[in-house]
Amino acid sequence: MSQGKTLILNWEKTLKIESSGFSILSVLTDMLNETQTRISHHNLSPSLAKEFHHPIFKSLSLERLTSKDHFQETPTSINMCIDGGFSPVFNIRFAEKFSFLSDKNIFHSQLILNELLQNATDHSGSERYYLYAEIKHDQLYLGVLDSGIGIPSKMSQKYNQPNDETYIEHSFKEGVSTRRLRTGGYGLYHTFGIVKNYEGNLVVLSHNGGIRRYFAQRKVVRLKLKNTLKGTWCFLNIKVGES
Amino acid sequence: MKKIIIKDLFPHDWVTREAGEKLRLMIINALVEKKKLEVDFSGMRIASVSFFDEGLAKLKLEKLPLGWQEYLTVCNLNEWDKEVLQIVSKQRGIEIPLEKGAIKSHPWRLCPAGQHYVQGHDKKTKKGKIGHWKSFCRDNPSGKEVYTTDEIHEMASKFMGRELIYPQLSQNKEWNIYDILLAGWTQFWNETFTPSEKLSPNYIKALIISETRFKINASTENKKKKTGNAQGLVQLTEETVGLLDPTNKELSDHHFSISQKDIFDPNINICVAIRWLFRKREIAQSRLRRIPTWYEVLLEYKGILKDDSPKAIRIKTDLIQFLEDQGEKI
Repeated sequence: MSQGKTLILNWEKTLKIESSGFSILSVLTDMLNETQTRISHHNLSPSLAKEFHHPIFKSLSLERLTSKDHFQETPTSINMCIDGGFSPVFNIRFAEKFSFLSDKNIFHSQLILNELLQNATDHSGSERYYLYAEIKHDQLYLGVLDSGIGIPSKMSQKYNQPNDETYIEHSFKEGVSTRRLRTGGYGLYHTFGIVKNYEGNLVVLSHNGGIRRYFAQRKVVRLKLKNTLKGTWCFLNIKVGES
Repeated sequence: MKKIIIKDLFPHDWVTREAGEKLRLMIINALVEKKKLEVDFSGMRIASVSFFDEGLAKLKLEKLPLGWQEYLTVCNLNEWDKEVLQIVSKQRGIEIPLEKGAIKSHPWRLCPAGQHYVQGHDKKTKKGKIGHWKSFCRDNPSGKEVYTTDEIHEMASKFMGRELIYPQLSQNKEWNIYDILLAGWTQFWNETFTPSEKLSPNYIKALIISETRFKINASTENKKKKTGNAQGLVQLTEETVGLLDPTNKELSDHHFSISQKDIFDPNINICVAIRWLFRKREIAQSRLRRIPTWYEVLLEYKGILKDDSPKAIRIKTDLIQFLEDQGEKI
């Protein structure tokens, strides 16, 4: 993605864009703007072209998404870009928007988002963070994406692991922390404990590796990415009360 | 006594490790001086392992004066935050002193959250004498807000002296007998749950007219065995009374410890039915994916929110008529 280049997005097999997709496109747009790379859309179906009315989608072909504390919402989802550091505004809006969930569901979702965002702001060195929440049937989808240094690079300052996948896996363990001051390592550990209790799934992608965890099936899949990902992307879903 | 009110001192960040560290330093300063300190979490939902770990659990790593636990009290934590704090404290090997029953309840309540009311009564002593036991608040095992028959009666006995918004008078005078209960309990639950659109007592009056025409002993046999009979003014089912019990997980808080026969008491029936209506509002919101109107909540209560059968349409038409008679526009 060097200067003057164009990135072609081929939409041939895409039927719909979910809120996680909007977050990915947002973080991607941010990176492309940094490198002054243009985007060209190919094979856009008429139904998908309608999605261009989504404010985030519009920003892909227009200008960078910089509106701080600005929500993009559909009836079932919220997307947001947080600029500059930790902010609780997404969580506050989350509680308002999804107030039909039980208190317990809201609390645990907020805790997950808080810990993921806190981790991203503490370790990634990124300036922007992309958050989303979407409800579909009885599943709540949550995610935090950044374009920072990535988990493996940060972890390698203190730990030795053979590859990026094991660095990511190691970061989930109790008491593992790269901070010299304010040592912790309980935040993520608890977060994943909650996802487990809700029989959820988790995907963490960072640098050259990734981990997929299916908590209900007790299954872990280690991933090697084809291309290096600049940053860390966390996606998860949990089963919430009645649909 | 020194007080740290989290809502005031951490208005923008009550989540991060930085904020937690700030809290811990404030606690240490007070404890080193051996001053009594209360950390008050009222009105806050923290939802952060990092904040509790850094702010409180890490006191384990500090050099604190002996017996520091006597000086520190953490109060008004909601039940989920309390659970998180207890988990991280356990991991660090420290016990943080939590105040029992200090969550501020509605001012009309006689007992704080975590306790329930036991009315004063006469009791025979072992020596055969009659002794009088004064009314008191007893700890609930669940730690939640639980209402007993005695407390509901005590609270309602004070409605007379309060400024209340009454429902519109009906032409049928018998339908106005319970207006004070409708006004009092509607206000109490509105202030407890603070909905964006307040419930009007006219809606409860219309609901009762449509259900029983204010017949207090009304009991309707239900074809569904699981639901049980519908009883009393607002036709609460036996199943609903079970769902309101503190041992049931249907409600996250504000439970009732009452017997099936209490349901025929108009005061209990109205109080419980309005609380149940607020739960129905949550369910309707979940089904509609938006905040429902109170009319839609009444339909959910009657089980016809998404029912367009001829019978349901007739019930809806009647209900709209009753509401309009009460001066409400749908």
